[in-house]
Amino acid sequence: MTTATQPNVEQLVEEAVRFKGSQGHPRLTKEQSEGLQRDFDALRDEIREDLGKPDVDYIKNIIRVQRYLEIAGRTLIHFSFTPVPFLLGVSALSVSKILDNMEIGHNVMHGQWDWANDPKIHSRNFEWDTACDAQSWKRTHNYEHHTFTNIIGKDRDYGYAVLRLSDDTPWRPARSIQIVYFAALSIFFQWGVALHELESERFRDGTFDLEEKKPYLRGLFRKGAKQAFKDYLFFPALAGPFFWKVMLGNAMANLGRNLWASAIIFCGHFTEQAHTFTQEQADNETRGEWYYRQLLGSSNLSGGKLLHIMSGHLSYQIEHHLFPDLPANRYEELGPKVEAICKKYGLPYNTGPFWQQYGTVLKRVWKYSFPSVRRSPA
Amino acid sequence: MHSQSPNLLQRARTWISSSLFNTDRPAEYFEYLLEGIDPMWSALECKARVMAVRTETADTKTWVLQPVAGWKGFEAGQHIHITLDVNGVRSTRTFTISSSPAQWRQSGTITLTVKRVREGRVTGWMHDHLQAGDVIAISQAEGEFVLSPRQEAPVGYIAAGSGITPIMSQLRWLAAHSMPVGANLLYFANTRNDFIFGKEIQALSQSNARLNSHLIATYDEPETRHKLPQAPICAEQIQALLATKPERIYLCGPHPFREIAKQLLQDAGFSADRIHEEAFGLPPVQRAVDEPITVRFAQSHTETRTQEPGTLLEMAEAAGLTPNSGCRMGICYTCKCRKQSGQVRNVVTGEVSGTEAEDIRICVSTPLTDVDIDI
Repeated sequence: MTTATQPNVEQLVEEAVRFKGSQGHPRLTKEQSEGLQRDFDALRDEIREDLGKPDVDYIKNIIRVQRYLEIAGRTLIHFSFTPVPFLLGVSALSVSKILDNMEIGHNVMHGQWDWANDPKIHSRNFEWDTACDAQSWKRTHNYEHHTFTNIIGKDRDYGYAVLRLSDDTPWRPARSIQIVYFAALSIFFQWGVALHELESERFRDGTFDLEEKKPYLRGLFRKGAKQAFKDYLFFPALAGPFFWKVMLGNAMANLGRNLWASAIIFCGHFTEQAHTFTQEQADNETRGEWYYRQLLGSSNLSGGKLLHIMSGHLSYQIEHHLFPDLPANRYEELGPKVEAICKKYGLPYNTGPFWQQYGTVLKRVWKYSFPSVRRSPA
Repeated sequence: MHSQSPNLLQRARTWISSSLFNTDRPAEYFEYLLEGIDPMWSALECKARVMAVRTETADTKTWVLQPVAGWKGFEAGQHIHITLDVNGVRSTRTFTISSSPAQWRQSGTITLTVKRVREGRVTGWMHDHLQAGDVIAISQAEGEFVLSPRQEAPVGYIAAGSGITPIMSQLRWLAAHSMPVGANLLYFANTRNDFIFGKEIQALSQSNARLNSHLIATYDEPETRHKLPQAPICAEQIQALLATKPERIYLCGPHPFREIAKQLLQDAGFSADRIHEEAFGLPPVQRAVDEPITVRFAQSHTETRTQEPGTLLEMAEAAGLTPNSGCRMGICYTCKCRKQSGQVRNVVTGEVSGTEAEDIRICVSTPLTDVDIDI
């Protein structure tokens, strides 16, 4: 070694540590990040090699249950003349939409069953029972959100451009009533998701380009019209004089799905303990560091089998973000193994019951409604 | 106006279906429900139940299938595509039917005779796991490797290995109809133990004067594997076959074997247009190109750069992607994808595409220029 300026040992150590424990991020050395990459890659390969008929049977069974619930729900809403069967119908239809969107659609569109080579459960063909069209979803969710997870300014899912959830986003007076936006987003969630790719925040800074958005807008109107036709015209019209009853039932089913889906999704990244990142921190990231960011940016929900299925296994948000293309029915078995790896590297594994996690989301939305006075550790 | 109305009706139907069922074909919405009630039920494909499995040779088995009532039957020598779940992975392969159409009419069953391909994922799984009671999907029969209805002069057959299967269907059919035309068969296999249907062919030849068969092994014993003098195929055998004055010759076997046989036939003055060939699989893709080609898989945000492009399907799979695929020979259109730009060549027909956006079958398309494709 005959370099003119030799870096001293301290400098070398400093460079080897990407996350130095600042901004509340736990420390991660280069060696640790390599270990993390090895361990998580090995875990992924282990499951990949084991995939087979039981995984395909699982999703086929979920699809069967969803179909039966949808048929039962729509039939009950159509033929009910008293509140109890009507509400049963609404519940069945709502659960069917939740299963379709969360356990089936979201996971299938991640390509979790693409290896099965069945066009009916292949990410390329799948379309779901919600206003957002599959192509737009794959761009904004699979690509943007899963690649740039929790990078402020890059991951547009972080606050959906209407919520301020970190000090990295500047405060504006409009943010002080963001709890109202939060409620509105929850109620109209399917339309919020559909409008996500519009990037309405670009109206504000004047960078909105209508030409560029035209293909997206065409998809938006096409899919939005189909959803509205189905739930608010076709099935109500079938009921003739009971048009309004069926329309109300369908709206209630959609509302139920919207509230549940939004609550689950907010719990995935907006909890108090979920970390955020800057673009600088993610520049030239290794795969190990990518795992680290996915891990710290996500939070799980503890609960039973029903919660896992109804949340589309987003109760295993951490496992989902580490391995978005492994079939969701495998996350439960991955959970303890991922937690053990976190423990090994001294990294947090953020989990808690639904209400507790949702409580911290509300707290976060409330806290960042106000201009910050000091830097918070979260 | 008149010609537009069915089109408009069709479009309205597709629109309504996609809004109610989130798919252009309502049948897809109900498919798993039907399958859940009875695996033989389907609104999308023809199903068939495996009735029995027989061992033919050390590496070849026969599956007896009973198709559903909607299956339309076949002519001797035709093939079908079968689709089965190989440990959850939907896989399509093409096999000729080895039974006679007479059997189909009498008992409603057909047979497929399949050799285990070394390292073959699908044939290996069939040999190890596909058993009586299982249900698979089958296509309607297709193929031109059939006897002409006005056939009067004798026919000649040349088969090697598992290439006997379509010919066996024809021999069985001819025998069941007391040999309306004469038939002379040359059948090659590695050893005497490897003749599929060997005993049945000999028995048929003994009981039917107009059927002559000549079974030729390449090696003496499976253990010692000494090459025998007459093997594998030579001009004398061809001369002997042509001496029977065949009007047509049906040829089926591995690609190199067929090339040699065709050359010998032509050398002996037998014209190529009287030879019927049954060939599966793709011809070898002409690989090396001068400039490296970049294929961009737009939806996966992945690209591949190479100087030796194979088919786009192979390239996508090598890049770790899992596009839909079926027959892998350009027949079933399962692998159809949107090409956004670039030129491709069809490896079967040699046809060169335009450069604009269009749907292509990636299993038979190899890139000639940089290609952008929606995978």
